[in-house]
Amino acid sequence: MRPDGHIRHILIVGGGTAGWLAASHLARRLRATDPEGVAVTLLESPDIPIIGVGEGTVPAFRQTLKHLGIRETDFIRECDATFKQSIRFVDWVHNPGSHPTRAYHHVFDYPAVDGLDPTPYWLMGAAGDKSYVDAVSVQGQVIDQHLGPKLMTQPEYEGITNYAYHLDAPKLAAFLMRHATEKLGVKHILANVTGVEMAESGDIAAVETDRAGRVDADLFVDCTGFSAKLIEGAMGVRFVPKSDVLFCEHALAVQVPYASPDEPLPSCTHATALDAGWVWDIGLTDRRGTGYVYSSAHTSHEAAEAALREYLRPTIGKMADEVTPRRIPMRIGMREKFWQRNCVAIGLSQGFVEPLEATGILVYDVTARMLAEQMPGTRAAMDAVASRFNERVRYGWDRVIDFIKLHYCLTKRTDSDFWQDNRCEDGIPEHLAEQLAVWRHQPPTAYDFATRYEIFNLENYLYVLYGMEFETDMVPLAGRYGEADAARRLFDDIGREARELCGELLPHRELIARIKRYGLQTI
Amino acid sequence: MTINIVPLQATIHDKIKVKDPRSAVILDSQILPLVIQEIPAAAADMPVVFVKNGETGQFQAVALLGLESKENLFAGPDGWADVYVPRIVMNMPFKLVNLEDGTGRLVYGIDDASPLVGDEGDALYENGTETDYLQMRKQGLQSYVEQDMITNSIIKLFVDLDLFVQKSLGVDVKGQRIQLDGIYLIDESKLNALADDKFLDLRKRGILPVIYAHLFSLQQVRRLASLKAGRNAA
Repeated sequence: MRPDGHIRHILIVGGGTAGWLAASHLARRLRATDPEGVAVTLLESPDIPIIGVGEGTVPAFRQTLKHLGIRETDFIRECDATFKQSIRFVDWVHNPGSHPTRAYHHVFDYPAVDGLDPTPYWLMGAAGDKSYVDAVSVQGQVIDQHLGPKLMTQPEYEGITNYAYHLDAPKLAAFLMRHATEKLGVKHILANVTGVEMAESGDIAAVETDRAGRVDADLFVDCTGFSAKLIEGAMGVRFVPKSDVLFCEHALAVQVPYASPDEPLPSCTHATALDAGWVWDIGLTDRRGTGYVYSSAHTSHEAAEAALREYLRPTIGKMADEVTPRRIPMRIGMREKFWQRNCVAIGLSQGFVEPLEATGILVYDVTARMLAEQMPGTRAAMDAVASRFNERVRYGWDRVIDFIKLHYCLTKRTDSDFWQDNRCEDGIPEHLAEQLAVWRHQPPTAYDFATRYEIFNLENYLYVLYGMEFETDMVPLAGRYGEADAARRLFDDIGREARELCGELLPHRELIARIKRYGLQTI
Repeated sequence: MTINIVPLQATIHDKIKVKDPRSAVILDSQILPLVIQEIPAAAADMPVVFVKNGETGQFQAVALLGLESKENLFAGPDGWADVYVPRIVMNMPFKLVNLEDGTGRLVYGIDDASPLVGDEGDALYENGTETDYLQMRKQGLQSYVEQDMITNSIIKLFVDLDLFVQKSLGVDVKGQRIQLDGIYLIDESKLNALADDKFLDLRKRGILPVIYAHLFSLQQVRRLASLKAGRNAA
């Protein structure tokens, strides 16, 4: 630490997606290219591979790319990105094969509120037998037809419908590395951490490395993944497990090819519930990324692998027996603190829940930007800022866990212990239980999401609640909603708009091919 | 309108004649693409703007011929009025086409189904050899293809220099406001803010007159309005 206590150099340890996102946000906000700004260095081990299975994002990631000065065309070309417009949940509500409706979408377009909130009217049956998503949004139908979210004539980062991306995680890390080092002024060191040097105060003074010597800094960002070398290893901050709420703690990941190169490209993540967890299925241009997230208390690793192969068999045939899934243990929960003295954890070292709603990249991105925007000027001001940061990030993680649990606890499935256990009230966090108690008697409103730091908001909850066939008792409220005719017209208009849009939008695969060929304009 | 482009061949096309393309009946094109070299001439009669190609999202220069989709205020049932006629029309019914024999070689083709083709107008062959008329038309086609390539590179330069701005053009026709969207212009303030070396580069390449012609031509939107008002009155 320098004598004046000014924050002039930040060291990020670890170079996966979280590391490069953190480095980019810090360098951009703190003007690392300027000698008068704050220097940002990223130290990456040449020997430790990144986990690199986080392939899903949420729409906020679009703002991040734009904010960092990245061209969407470059990102799509270099990270094999495709468009993601929803998560489609298959077999989450009913026992498989027992019900005609197997799936629902959590789409990214907000419900169309055109002076009239459609949700209560849908609950009272004004949309007939339309699903919630198809009643209030055009996007489910766009996705069902494998269409892209935008027109070639639209500028970068703008769409007809709201969208995020699927991407190749190692390519994203490499892409962000180039951008951060070439454009944002991040210094890149390749070396292994061999030790951490503590100052008398209890701060981290420097890290020792095998081939770059001693590297000191004023603030250290731990992006070392599950190993949590700094926040846990050096600072001793405890991990708070959440496996009593979210049971899945293993993943089996495998990449598989398409049956044919012109197979329609889905523009949603498929999340298919199995007996002891669920399978993610993400379509990139040249391959799919899939993985079974499961609870080893409810199934064996062997049975899980067999279940993943059975899931893949209808689409890839006998290759389902030939692929080699990689087993990844997951530590579910978060740190007791995320910022301790002059050490901040971003990434898997900070916390992790199963990748059901692409929460990994999302939370790391949000907290990295929060860190960059709140960075104090001096060490003396740091502890107060850290304390607020801890409060907000903890609040964020608690709400993320609520939202993930929501997907499980509303299930009507009774066909395995895993689903039975998930319905059990003991595992439902208090805050979520309170919300559900309110929503049994009235639809959710914005008042139920009171802070600015909610990671998931009203709209996200609406799609999941009513996709999961949650029941809100509208009988005592019926007299308050007297605009059923207007609501019916709104539902008709949305249906008409969906049909028109489906005629205008390109097939997703074609859209990606044209963007790769011609590029998108910035205006 | 059916289009049937076949390679030109003396044995097949020795009897046909081609009418003046100005008689071509093009009633439903609100815009027609322009090459950079014809922008000053076109600008004297009609607005010249930039739009994005719906298929590729790429910018292209176009003559704006009407205020509504499928409206061409400069052409009627008898062909074009006494105005500048875009070269893409003046090339009709000829076109350079890629041979579909795998070589991708460019050959001269003719749209057999065009109303310009028949027994009136200029002959293409005489005793099996090309007439002066056909040779002139082929030269025109050749230079058009070259100019089209130059146009693409200059538009790419405009994009790289970030000169375009999206603008909605509004005009009153007999008290009724018509708004044209999806139109892009070169932004004068961005042009003026260019670094000296970049601006000098535009001057040396002879692009400045094109840019100013485009900017002046925006006044022609009022001419479209009066043509439309006249047409509505008739």
